[in-house]
This record gives sequence, structure tokens and C-alpha cells, in this order.
Amino acid sequence: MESIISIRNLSFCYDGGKKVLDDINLEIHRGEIFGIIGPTGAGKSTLLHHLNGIIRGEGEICVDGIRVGKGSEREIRERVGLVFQNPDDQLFCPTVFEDVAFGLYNMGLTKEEVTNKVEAVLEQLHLTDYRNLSSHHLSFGEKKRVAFATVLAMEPKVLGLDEPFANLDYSSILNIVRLIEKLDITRIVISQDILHAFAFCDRIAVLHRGRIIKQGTPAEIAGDHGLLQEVGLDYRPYLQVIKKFF
Amino acid sequence: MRHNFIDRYGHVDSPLHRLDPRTKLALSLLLIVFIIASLRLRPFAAFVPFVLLLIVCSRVPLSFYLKRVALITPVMLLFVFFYLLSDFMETHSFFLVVDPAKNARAATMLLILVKSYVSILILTLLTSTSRFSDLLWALRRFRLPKVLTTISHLVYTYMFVLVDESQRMSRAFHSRAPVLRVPRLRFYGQWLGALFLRSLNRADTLYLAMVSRGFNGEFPEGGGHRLRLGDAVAISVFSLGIAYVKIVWKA
Repeated sequence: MESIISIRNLSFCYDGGKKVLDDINLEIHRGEIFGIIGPTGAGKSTLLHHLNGIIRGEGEICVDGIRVGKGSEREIRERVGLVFQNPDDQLFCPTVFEDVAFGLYNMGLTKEEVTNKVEAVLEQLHLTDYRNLSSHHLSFGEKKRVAFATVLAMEPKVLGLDEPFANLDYSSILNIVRLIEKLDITRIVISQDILHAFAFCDRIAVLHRGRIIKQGTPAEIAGDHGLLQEVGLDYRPYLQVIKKFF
Repeated sequence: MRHNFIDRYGHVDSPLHRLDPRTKLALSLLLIVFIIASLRLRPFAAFVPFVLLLIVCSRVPLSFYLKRVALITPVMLLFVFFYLLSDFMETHSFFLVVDPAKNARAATMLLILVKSYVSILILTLLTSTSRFSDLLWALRRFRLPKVLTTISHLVYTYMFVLVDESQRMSRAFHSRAPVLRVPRLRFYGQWLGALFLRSLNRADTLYLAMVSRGFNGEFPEGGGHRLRLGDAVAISVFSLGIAYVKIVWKA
């Protein structure tokens, strides 16, 4: 399969801190749903932020043939869209419409083009009635959808989702899963909730202490109990607990 | 949580809201300059009813204007106090008590007070009948340096972060300490420090969110406005009104 993201020897540490990413090598294929799982503090969000160039470390990242770095910010940000874990960190405009339009204006589109694209994406995500509301008056699930809309409106080739299921009820999770599955682009899902990742990712990488320790299909990862236990992601005790209810 | 601290009524539909922001900005500044330059109280017999008429036309609640105007009252009280004090030290009597109607100093003080309140009313009228991004766009059209409009936009964007974080901290505090039992000054010092750090952290993440959507230091401007017949009418009425007051009333 053709690779859309290629990461070579990526390392990163915050100012004066410990190494958050350590020699990451990864190939992500065009059109696939790629999951990155790992415990808290493993470096998942930091890795995702590198794909968009908002954080830069040592090593090389290429997205759609373009090297992430100085001078390519515009092209990269048009190609890679990020949905942050907390929608409150992503929404900053007075209304839903303006929030969705923000990225489009930055792409240099005209007012008419922006309006058309915003209306289309709001309709796609059933948010048309919210267009003039303040994002901060919406429920968490609705905010998540608006955060999605802000990125989808830019029609990226790669969509990075940081913990898309965190703090959501099951019906909202299902809506998000359906939405992600329907998209015809490369999707990268960061999650601690490995059951959700197993459910719909094509391939999964396990990140632990800044290193990719295994990559494979959901079945291969789910079957490696020793590895999951080692990184604190063993789901079986949880299944044992809830099994009695079924 | 509210986001629109400045332009809360910017989305209301009224004849004033429909005017081009450039028209509103230019006419507001013109009126304020004219008011500040007035040396007599008499023209205000025309200005005040005119501004009140605009307030009614704006379809923004009167209470909103009163609250905004009340914000400058402490400053005005301070001004009155020092004005009286300086007068007392000079004449050893309070002019207002003696005969305010015949006292030139009393008239000057009253003139300054009226000018201040009417100017604030006009500014409130301007900001509550336009969206903030549109005002910035108008300022840019009037050649205000981009760095100033960008800073204004950043302040506008981040203002809600500070308020939101302080509300969260306040809720967390009151849920665990309905009655404050620690030395107040020390507590509020710590509280302010924590608020600053939290806001800084949140602002950082927001900035990353902006950058990830292509933000390169320039906010997308509002705009797309065109001068219409209503703007031409407003400019004509304003100009004629001000000329009338200037010539006939010798303001």
C-alpha cells in the first residue's frame, strides 16, 4: 500500500525535560485507520502534534511527499487536520460558524467559498441549527462534533484524532465511530481505550515511554497479552468484571 | 461561559447594525471629537436626545448601556472630588453650595461630566451595534497598523480563557470551601498565581489549535461590507446635524 506519512528516527523532548519520543519509525498508509495506543504519558499526543508541524523534534516526517519543517507549514496544515482531546482547547471563536470558518479563511478562500464549505460541513455533522451559537454553550458531545467540523471543513488528507472517545457516552461514541469510518481519508486515532481502537482500526501501533514497541493488526495486538500487561493496557480483567452482566 | 464580552449584541438585527462598520466608526469618532471640542453645554440639548434616539434604534436593552456607563462612574466621582478639592483650596468655599448656576467652574465641571458620559454612550453604541471582527476590519480600512488589530483580536480571543479558568477555579473552590477560612490576602495571591498559570497553559493549547488550522499571525478579518444607501443617508444626516449645531448653536 502507498504510504502517506513516513516518520524516520523521530525524537523529541520538551525544554529541559525527559525524552518524550525516542527514535520513532512509522509508515502510515493512504486511506487506512491507524490507531496509536499507549498509557498516559506515553507520548501519543506529542507524536500527533508532530504530524501537523506544531511541534518539531529531531528526525524526519514526510506527509504526502512533503517534508514537515520550516517553509512547508501551509501545505502541511492544509493536508493534516488535528482534532484535540479537549474541544474547549480547540474552539475559540464567538460562534460555531466563525470557529469552522477560521481555518478556511487562513487557507485564503473567499467569503463565499468559506460560507459554502462551512454550511456543507455543518449540515454533514447535523450542526446547522448551532451555526450562530457560542461553542461554549454546547454539550461536550456537541463541542466534539464542532471540533470535528472545524477540521473537516478544511478537507484534509490526513485526520488526526486525539482521544476522540474520551468523556463521551456510548451513543456519542457510536456517532463518532460512524463518522470516522465514513470518511475517505487517512485517519489516525490516538486512544487509551484500546477496545475502541481494536473495534475499528485497520492497524495499531503501541507506544510506551516514547517508543513504538509493536505494530500490527488489531488481532495481533489484542492477542499479545504479555505486551499489553507490560504497558498497563491489559483489558482482560475489565472484561472479566463486566462479563457477569451478560 | 460567555465569550462575547465586548460585542454581546453585535448579532442583533437593527438599522444601526446593518450600517457599514466603517460608517459607524467614522461617524462615532466624528461625533466624539465634536463633543470633546464643544465649549458650551447648550449643544448637548441636541446631542443627548440624538444619542438616546440611536440607543432606541439599536434594539439593545437600555440596562446594558446603563451598566456600561456606570463603569466610568468611580473615575468620574474621583474627578469631581479633586475638582471640588482644588476649588476649595483656591477659594475656600464650595462653588456648588454657593451658587452653581452662576459659577463658571461648576459649568466646566458639569460640561466635562456630560462629555465623558455621552462619549462613553457613543462608544458603547458603536461596540454593541457591530461585531468586534467587523470593527477591526473597519480600523484596518482606516489604515490602523495590522499589529494593533492583531493584538486587539488576540486580547478578544483570550479574554474568555481568563474568565473561564477563573470560573472553574471558583467552582472548585466553593465546592470544597463554602466559607473561606484562610487569610484572605494570601489566598487571593495564590489564587491569582494559579489562575495565571492555568490560563497561560490553556492559552498555549489554544494557540496550538489555531496554528494547526493555518494561523500565521494574522486573524482572518470580518468585512465583505459595502457602502449602501443607508450609509449615505446616515453620513448626510450626521454631517448636516453637526453642521447645524455648529453654525446655528455656535457650539
